[in-house]
Amino acid sequence: MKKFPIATQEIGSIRKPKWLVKLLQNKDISEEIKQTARDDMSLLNLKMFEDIGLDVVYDGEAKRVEMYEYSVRRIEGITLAGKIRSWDNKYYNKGRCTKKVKYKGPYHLDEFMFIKKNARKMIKLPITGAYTLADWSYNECYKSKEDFTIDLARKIIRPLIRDLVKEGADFIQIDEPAATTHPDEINLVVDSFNESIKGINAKFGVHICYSGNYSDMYPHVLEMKNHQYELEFANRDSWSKGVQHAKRNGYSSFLKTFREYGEKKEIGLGVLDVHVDEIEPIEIIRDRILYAVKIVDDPNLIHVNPDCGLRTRSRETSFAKLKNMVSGAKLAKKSLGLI
Amino acid sequence: MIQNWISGIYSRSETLIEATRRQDKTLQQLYENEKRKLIKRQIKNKFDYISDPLIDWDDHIRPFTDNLRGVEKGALTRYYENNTFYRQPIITNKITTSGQILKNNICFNLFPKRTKIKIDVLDPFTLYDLSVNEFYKSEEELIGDFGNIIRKELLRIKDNVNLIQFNAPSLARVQEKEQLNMVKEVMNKVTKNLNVTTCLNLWGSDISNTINEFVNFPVDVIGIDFITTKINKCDPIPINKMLACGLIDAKNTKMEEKKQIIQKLKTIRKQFGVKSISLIPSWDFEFIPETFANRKIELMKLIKQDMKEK
Repeated sequence: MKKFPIATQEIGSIRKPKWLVKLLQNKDISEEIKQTARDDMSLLNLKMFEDIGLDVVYDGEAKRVEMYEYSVRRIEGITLAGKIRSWDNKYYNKGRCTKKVKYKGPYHLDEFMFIKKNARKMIKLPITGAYTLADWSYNECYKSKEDFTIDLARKIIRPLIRDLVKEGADFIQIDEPAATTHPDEINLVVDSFNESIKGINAKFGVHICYSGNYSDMYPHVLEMKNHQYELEFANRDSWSKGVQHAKRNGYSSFLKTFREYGEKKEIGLGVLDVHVDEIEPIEIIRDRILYAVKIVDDPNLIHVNPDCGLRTRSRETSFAKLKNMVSGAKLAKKSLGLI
Repeated sequence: MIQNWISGIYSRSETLIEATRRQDKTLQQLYENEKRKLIKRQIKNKFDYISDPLIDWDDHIRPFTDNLRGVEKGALTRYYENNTFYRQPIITNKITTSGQILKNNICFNLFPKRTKIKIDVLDPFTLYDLSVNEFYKSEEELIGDFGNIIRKELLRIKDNVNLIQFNAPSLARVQEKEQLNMVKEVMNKVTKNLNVTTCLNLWGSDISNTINEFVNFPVDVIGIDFITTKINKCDPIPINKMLACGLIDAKNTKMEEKKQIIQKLKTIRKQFGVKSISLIPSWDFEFIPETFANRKIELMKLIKQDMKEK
């Protein structure tokens, strides 16, 4: 696999402008016009990311309602129950699985083909993983969560990935934000990930965020057949400059564990806190990267991204943060003599 | 005899969800209207204690994070094994309170007269466990100070309250006897001479190994989450307190079978030799949409009715 040290990448969704949300909710506007608007937004995000200078792009999930809801709406056997709070006044629509799940077709294929046609940079396609789909749904059908999760992996996610790879997707990020919610279920996370990609040849990342402690995933996660971890760190890190352990308290614990276990997978290092409007100064981003390189001792293993999707921030804030991320990564590369 | 009540934060209605998303100007009024409705719903379903549904609380700890002196707001952090997050308090100095936090954050003005009011508050250990300590030298010291704060808060409101429920999800996870004894001492100070019925509600964990420690806590009612604690795993020790049975799964939309719950209540009563028993949800109902929560509290009413008739 080609080495790409300190590549900058997007990770998830970007907020849709109000005019687009209103347009999509307007019952008097035809589906054809709505589809054109979605395409335009996808293209706009894609070009913004490329202009900012990200090395790996998608479209900010411009055509999806939300990472979980978009998927479960397209899976037979799951129906939406209603909205549940994630925090404060943020909600997600939660599904009920009332009968065994069935694949209805490759639900990300159209958006992927559109991006493939228009992107000039490397594409990383995000999809929501089986474990998270199961963990965030009410299980009213299967005897156990294990049965539910593995069925989702085999019957929904694997055929979806197979169809996407057939059409040219070669880097897929499986989003598993729920992965560390139940530390005693990490084996199920690993098994369902491996079941999802079984027999398919592509580069696979796993995105996990807002965990109590990523180190708890070890040693089980060593069995996961992913090539990259995309993880949230900035949310828990200090805003002080420096590459000492004390300054980089959000990163030190996991990175040390990663090194102790001799991991050779890439890390998509979360360097932007997606829950605050403050724009991270480029020197702090640089230091977060340099610290990670210092600990894992190989710049090829470090890629750079926001902690998670930026959808809770305004578009202006999101793009300003991403711009600084690219500049911070350049500073880090310069310090390391990579440019 | 069986009683029932709800616990913690109730689910928000679709109307309220939309209003909070828009940050509607009438939001405060809407909170009040919705609370009135939910209080009425509990009364209509003949609940024995009526709770503030806390639908305006961002999380269980936020009123303290926002109002305690010596505390700063930290990162959004996962709330146990849920896809729900809370704002972590960072303890940067000695914590003190004005004693007005619960008084100002519970809707005492909305309860009809002669209502038996129940309030929810986290226990001192859980408050400690959900915080980041950057000031205190020992956990005992911080837990003790959280105990002092809770006591001060409760003394201010106790005359208007009939049941104080200490929700203790972090405490429910503790397995070490020594640590439990330390918290028990703190709880002794918190509950001393309060003259109000108190409940320690052990949310979210299997307490089958520690149940005999918890029955000696200085409270009148022990609440057990019987979704995570399997009845047949618990030793049949005698419990001389009321047992609040979290048999209604607050985290799944699947409706319980009335007969099965009645059978489980009978088994529990026999196994622990308890005279008084109550039926409660396993956690807050905020983990399921409001329509399902409403159905579940109606089921709770029917179960109570059936058990009375028999």
